[in-house]
Amino acid sequence: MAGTVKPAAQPIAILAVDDEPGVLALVRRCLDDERVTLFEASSGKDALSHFPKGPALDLLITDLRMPEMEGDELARQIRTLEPDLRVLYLTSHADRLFEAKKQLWAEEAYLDKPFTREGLREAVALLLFGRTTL
Amino acid sequence: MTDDDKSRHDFKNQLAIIRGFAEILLAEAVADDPRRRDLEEIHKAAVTALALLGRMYPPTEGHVDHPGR
Repeated sequence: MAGTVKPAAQPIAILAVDDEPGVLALVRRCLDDERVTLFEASSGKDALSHFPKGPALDLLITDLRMPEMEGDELARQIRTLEPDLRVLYLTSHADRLFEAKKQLWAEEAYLDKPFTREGLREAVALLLFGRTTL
Repeated sequence: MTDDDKSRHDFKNQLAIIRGFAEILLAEAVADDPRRRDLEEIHKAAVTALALLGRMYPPTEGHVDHPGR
């Protein structure tokens, strides 16, 4: 990973974006941790309203397929505001992700749906801390 | 995205939510919890339904299952 990893045991601010409320509820349950502050948005437009006044974020977790604005476009727009933001795409369509993006940036990863709690926590830990546990 | 694609995507999402919460509850349930067997059935049904969905709609040519992590 090219970027600087975040020191462990520090508060973690995450923005989760999915148009399916149940998926957001599952993400919230999976990341239930006193260090984690989770912000939630139901669309790309909703997510963009977090900026520029919202708290700084460490990680964007976004569904890839959403109406109006897809996850990779949302990440691109947020990166213009927060260039160092790490991004985790949740997708059951990895092929579509790689149609749009020939490769992922160093600070990006994707996780297949359906995901497990352990899988999500490991993906978040790898992106933020370069290790497998939160 | 066609209507069929969207329906499949949404249906898979719902099954994934059921499976995900069932897994969490199973992990938190103690061994002699009387609800454990019911949870296992819910989890098993969700896993089976996801597998059925995958068989009904196999990945298209060029699909990449695990190119990264």
